[in-house]
Amino acid sequence: MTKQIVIDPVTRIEGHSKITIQIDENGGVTDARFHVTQYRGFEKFIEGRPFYEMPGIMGRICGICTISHMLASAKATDRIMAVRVPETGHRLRQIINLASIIQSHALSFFHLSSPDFLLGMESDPAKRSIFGLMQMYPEVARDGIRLRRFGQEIIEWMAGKRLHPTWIVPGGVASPLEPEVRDRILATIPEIYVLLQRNLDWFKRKMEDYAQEIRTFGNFPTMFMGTITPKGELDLYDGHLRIVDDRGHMVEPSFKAQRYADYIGEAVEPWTFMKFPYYKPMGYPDGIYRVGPLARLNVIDSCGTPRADQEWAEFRQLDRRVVLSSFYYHYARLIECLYAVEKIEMMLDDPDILGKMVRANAGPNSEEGVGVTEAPRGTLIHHYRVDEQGRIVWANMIVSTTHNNMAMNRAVQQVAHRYVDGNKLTEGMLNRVEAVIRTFDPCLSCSTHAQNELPIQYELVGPHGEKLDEVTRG
Amino acid sequence: MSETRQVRVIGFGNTLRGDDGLGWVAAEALQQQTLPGVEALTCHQLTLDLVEWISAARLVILIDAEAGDSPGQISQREVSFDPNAADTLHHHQSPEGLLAGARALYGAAPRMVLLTVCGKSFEFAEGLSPEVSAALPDLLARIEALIRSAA
Amino acid sequence: MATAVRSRIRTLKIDGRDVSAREDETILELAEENGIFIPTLCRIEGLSLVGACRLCLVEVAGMNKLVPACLTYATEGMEVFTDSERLRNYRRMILELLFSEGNHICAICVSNGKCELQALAQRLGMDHVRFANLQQERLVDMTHERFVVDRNRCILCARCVRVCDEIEWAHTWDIKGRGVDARVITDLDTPWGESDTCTSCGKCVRVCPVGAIVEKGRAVGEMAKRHDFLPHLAKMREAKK
Ligand code: SF4
Ligand code: FES
Repeated sequence: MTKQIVIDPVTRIEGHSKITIQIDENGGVTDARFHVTQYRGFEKFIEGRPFYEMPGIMGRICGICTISHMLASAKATDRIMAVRVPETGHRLRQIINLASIIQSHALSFFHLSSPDFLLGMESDPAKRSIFGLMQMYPEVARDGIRLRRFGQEIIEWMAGKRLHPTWIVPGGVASPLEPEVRDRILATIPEIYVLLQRNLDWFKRKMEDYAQEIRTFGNFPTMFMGTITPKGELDLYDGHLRIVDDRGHMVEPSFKAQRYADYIGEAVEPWTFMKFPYYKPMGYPDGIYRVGPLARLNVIDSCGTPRADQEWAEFRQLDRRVVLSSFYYHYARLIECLYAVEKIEMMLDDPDILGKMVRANAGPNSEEGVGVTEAPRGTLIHHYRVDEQGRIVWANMIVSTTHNNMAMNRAVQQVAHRYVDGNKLTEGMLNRVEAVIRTFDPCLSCSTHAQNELPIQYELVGPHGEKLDEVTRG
Repeated sequence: MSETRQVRVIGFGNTLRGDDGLGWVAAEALQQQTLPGVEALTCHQLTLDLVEWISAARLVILIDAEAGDSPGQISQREVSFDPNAADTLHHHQSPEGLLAGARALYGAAPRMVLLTVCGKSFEFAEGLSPEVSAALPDLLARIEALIRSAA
Repeated sequence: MATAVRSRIRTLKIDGRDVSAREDETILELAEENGIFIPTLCRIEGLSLVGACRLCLVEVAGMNKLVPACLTYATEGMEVFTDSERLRNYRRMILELLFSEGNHICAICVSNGKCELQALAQRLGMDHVRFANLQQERLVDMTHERFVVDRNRCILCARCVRVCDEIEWAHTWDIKGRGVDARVITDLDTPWGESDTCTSCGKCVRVCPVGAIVEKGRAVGEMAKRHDFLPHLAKMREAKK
């Protein structure tokens, strides 16, 4: 009865991401797990290396989140040098971070997820593919390409046309902003506003068709964590962390990101390489929280930019207190894009952005440095210790996808409960499991620190541990 | 003649993963030759924004490394239009996805050829294995033959 | 100068081309004068010759052994070949050995794009390493206030040793040990930052062909070096002597 459906099983490295669904005698789901079965660390690479090389090395963890890793790493090295990044350098880093978030959200929303909601969950993958999308909604696909290019171009213009730019350095950035680059970016912004508005409009209309998915897609109480400005506004680069609970009450109104280890513990499970971070005072697994766009919009008091705030007000109406359904990650991504464009425009409009002081220099002045920033997928933490010469002796990283590990597992369970029927893996069910994982937009190469993204393997396991069905796709 | 020979070459992979860097090595070799009408770029993985760039071409050549048992072996595959181009959880596209995009968004239907070389090691390292390296001249010869055919 | 008057002219062949040389001229100098490329790494104008890297090996008719062009003087009737399958293989192998002995991951190196070893590997078409990396853990010394030595990237060309000894007259640098254990040391193998002899002049930084001796705090690809100061300094030294 074991049936194997294999879809494109091409893999370069041994090891897969795997989803196993456990069922009982009656075909009811008893457990579902999202595992990562491969791990390759960067750790051996960096031990004994000078601390200031870290941003350049860490940028190589992932091809999608290069900028985020470089920034978190550079911020950790700022701490090791115990310097304050010059204001202009600080803002330039903010701009490139926002651009990076835009390009990543564009991929996630337009190219990965929009086929789900535009073409329907039940439709067979043939139709629900990116091609289906491009045929039926070419303007959406084109907008996705345009938006991603907007983000990519800002990165290229500011940091140079390299896959792994080395412009982000300890103490700031390597060179000031050229006026000509500023003008070029500013000139494209009006078009991007129109693009985002257009897509927000259809998405909000579409949401009405997905009442069921909204109810079952990772819709459960958890806490949320994100970064805020001193005023409680959205901040995607720097600030204190805030944790709220599922009713919107402050659990931790504001704590220093450097002290993350007092608040966040990391549990391990034997069946996966991905750790399970949890809120320490509540223990594991009760201390479950989510990070990323949805979480960020749940913890703030306002976005702090006019257009995004208008959308945010609507967003907060979606649920009684905080917005719990992971389906709304998609919506949150669009709102964050809007915020990011506004923020970039505001910063570029300030003449100080052309300032020439962009980098602070110093040797190691502190044995320890924590750098925290908001990556597209959520809070990203880099933490290093150095010896008295400044050589790395220890490092820890918690990447965004990892924070969401518990929530992703629970979301998979929820969908499995609702849609798994009998002892076969059906398309509709697999589509939904993938769709729910997509809401989190996990970056598997980041979270395993492996370099390639791997296909996902699905296993349906019977009451006695026997494999009932197996599928590989991705 | 050469002006109409629009060929776009994409070498993709990860240069810090041993043989996975093959696409880069090959594409960079082409960049140095500066053949008229031929443009080459390197990237980490195929993403949809490449669709625009390839749409102007008559011939698109993709160069990649793959896992397998006979390191250094070159395979060539015509990428055919396939609306089934699998949707994934990942951030990259299949070659079919790119081709489908070129057709749907820009009405372009370039010929697309995927050249892969079977790699030996994808461990964390820079540089190719001897087997893959030895296949390079052959690979480049094939690419050049393809380019000539597009003239 | 006196030598120029005394020197006699030799005629010989390089790669089939008739050339003439002064008697105090090495094959390498002669080749360069004639626009013939011979790869080098340890040789640097203005410092003594040590023949450490062996990259400049050439073939001489009638000799089985390969000879280093930087140390071999031109003689009458000599027939030199600077390029052959054998030489190309040999040079590539030397580079591969250098790569396998240290940590030479260009993508994350401060000297990326500005490194003589990297440039040579590209020029000679060394695109893979046949030898397993020795995975040696060599010490990075960051005790000096301004400079760092990362021995994982050192290719033991001894340029630092020579510039420090011959130009700066400080003799801080030395090479200790043999074979794969060889490494550069400061003073009597004490931390660089505690050196009594180092004048912090930075000449070793400028001559080091790779990312081994560099300025502190440089990010990937930020370590550009210039050593055109050397011939000039060397001349001044000679004049003083
Ligand atoms: S440190 Fe640099 S200059 Fe000194 S021997 Fe090593 S490679 Fe040569
Ligand atoms: S240059 Fe002749 S041996 Fe190094």
